[in-house]
Amino acid sequence: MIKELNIFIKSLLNYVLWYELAQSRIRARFNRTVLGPLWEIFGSLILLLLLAFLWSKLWNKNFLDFFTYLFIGFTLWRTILSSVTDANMLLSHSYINLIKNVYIHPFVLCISSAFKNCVTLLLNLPIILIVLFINDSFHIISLFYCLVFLLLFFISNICVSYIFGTLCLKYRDLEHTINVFFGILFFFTPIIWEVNQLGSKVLLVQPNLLYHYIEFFRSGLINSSVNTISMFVVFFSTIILVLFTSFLSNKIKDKITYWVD
Amino acid sequence: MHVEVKNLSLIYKIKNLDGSFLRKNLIKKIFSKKKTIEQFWALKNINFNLTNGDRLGVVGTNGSGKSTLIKCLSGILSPTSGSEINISGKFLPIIEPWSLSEPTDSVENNIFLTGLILGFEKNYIKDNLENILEFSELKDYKNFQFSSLSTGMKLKLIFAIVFLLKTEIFFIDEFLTTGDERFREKSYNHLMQETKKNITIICSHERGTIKSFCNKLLVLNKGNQEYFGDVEEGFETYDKFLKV
Repeated sequence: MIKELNIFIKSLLNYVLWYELAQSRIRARFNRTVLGPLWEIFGSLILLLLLAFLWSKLWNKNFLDFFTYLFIGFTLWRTILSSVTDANMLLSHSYINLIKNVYIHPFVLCISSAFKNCVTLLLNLPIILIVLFINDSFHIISLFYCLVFLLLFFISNICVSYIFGTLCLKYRDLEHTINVFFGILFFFTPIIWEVNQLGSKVLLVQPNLLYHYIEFFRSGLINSSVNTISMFVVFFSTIILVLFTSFLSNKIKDKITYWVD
Repeated sequence: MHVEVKNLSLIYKIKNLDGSFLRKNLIKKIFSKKKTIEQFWALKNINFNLTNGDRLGVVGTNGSGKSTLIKCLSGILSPTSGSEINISGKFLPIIEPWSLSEPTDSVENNIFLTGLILGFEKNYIKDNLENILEFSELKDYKNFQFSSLSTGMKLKLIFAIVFLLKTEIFFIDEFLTTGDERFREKSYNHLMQETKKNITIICSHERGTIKSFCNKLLVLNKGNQEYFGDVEEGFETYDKFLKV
């Protein structure tokens, strides 16, 4: 497992390759568009402005407060969802030819995929900061929480990409199962609704790992503080994910090329 | 530099299509006591040694294990335990290099991407960019989308990337039929010049190419090594198999 951790670090240090792979995928995604990656910002901004307007009226909330809450949560959710979708297809579709024709460690591909999705999240960060500034809830400490979160999220994202990528390569049903599961999970995660709306049933959200990730990011930015449980869960999950990824990689490293065919 | 292969073997597990479904896999694991996976030897006890200047041709009918051999040497496939592969020198696997490209990206970006995937430094690729474009006769297409090139142009470009980014050991799988006649001649001459001191392993069905290019021959038949040595003598052995 130590050997796998070493490969993980070496793959991280091979930044020229994973950066170029990610860039290439971003360019491919926004090929021939005028706005390019800015679509990531405008697309969600327009949608969330309208949704926040509607729901703030329906639930009798302050528009700006609710928009800030919704925008941060939804942006992270979209990043999580696109990370999972990319991960599911990473080895079975996206980079199938690469794995078949050249030796490249899957960690490099996972890092590239995670980085691509983190860039999407970062593109939305200026809008988030502007909204926080307008709402008078911007503090320097928020940036600190944001940086810590982005680091943990990036590492978790790489691990999830590897776990989902390899499992979906072996068991092709999983790709569809995971997509359905995440579609449902959206409604069980406090993104468009707030935790305090659950009243006495607030404990129901605790087993939801994604709640803690979203809470860390959102609360860190809006309130400049993160509840201890969410912080602990995110830290602990990241460590578990790294260890499990190393364990899994050690077990299946020689089998991946055979699963591709 | 050298390539030393000892007892190289590889067992393929033949996949029953049902095996990729979790549900069916689970049912099988619960109810079936028999092992349903079939195995076959894709390569069995392959042995050879190559040193500086050696150009090995690998021949065999379809399914004889030529591509599998290149994939094992490149580290793409892990051979069965007991196999030994010792390679000293920077090597480059060329199996289907055109599959490394990103179709919607520009020609220039694809040169960088393919070079990086093949393990070269970005600055080194940058230094060789103009040579690659010139050799592939695609200087005016630098900013074109890769997918807009014709198949012949794409192959020329990939050939240029692979052969102008210098390496010590080449593993080439069915790759010398690239481009038009003029380009093929140019590539062939370039390859002859560049690989004089290097080690090259070429898998091909083209007898003429192998006879004129290689100094050693490996004949494979259903994964078994039937011959390793002189080219002319090797083709006599190969012909016997073809007649059978």
